Amino acid sequence: MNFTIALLAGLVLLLPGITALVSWNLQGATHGAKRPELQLSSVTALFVALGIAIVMHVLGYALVSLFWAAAIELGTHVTPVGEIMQNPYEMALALSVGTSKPASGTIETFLIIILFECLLAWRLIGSNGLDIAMESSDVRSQGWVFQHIVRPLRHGYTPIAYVLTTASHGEYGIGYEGIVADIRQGENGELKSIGLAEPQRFIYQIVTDDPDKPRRKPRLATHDREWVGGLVALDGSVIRNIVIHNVSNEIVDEVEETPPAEDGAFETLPVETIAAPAALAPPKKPRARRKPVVPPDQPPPVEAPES
Amino acid sequence: MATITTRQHQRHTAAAARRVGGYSELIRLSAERGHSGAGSMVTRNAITGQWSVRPRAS
Repeated sequence: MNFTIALLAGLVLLLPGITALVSWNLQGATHGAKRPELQLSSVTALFVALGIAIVMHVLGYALVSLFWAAAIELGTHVTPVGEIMQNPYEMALALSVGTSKPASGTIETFLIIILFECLLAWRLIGSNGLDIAMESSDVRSQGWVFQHIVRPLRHGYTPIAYVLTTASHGEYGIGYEGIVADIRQGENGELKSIGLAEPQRFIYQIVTDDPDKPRRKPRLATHDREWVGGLVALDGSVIRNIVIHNVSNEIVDEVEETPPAEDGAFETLPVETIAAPAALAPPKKPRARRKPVVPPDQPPPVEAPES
Repeated sequence: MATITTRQHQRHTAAAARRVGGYSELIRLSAERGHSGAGSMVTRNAITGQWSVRPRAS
């Protein structure tokens, strides 16, 4: 085997591992939660690709050998369609050491098997099972962004951020609440910027209920909530603090599927099962006055004669 | 550069938030749903307009 063919064969053998790396990188590109790449050397990437390729080939060889043995056994009971084809893996090994030449159709079969292994590697990297298995390992070193935004998003939740900014006027400040569309971290993991889609803008204030009691705990009050629409991008320098909540997509779908209110059919349960407010409740019957209990050793009270 | 959530996903979630009265209300419903378990559903009281999570009618 000359050098060019050997290089091509090596690339074909590494193809499942390279596919896994491409799948991993593309997942990162679609996340939009970015942090500068850390010291992940190309040697590590090559090692990972080689390891995945070996695992895929071992699995592929086991399945192909099983299928070939079953097909040969089946051929003894039913009339075979054609000649028995050589096992593609054994053909590839024999071809690499130069002991035999490939039979017709064997190379094509081997390439199809390699493509199936690539597909399996692609699905494996993007699967929920692998994510659960690697739950504790934050591979991209994103920290809280990984645990509270990236992972919930992959499992059917929408991250919603509540951000208080440093833009203030006196005791008032501006805050936003919206769907996390984009989030960036610096080299040390600090928050660089965040983008909120379809945000609500509000004014926040730290108020004390009773000014005469200054030692009483103040509370955060919000005023003038309004829908801004579009997207607001906030730089890390203007963010005072941020709270992330995750809303289940099932809740969103159920709210959207609830019929509109105009026809009065908003309720998915019978109206009778829901407690009506006190103003709409039927009037109560007047309760009968109870007779006073008189101890047996005292004379009964004398009722006043009616006039 | 792609964003975390698609525009369609964002519009869908924002529309649900507008119906229930804001993102805070949507977060409250999601938390209630988490406590109630899988056998519950989101309902709206036709009289008071209050959204809540109730056990699913069998």
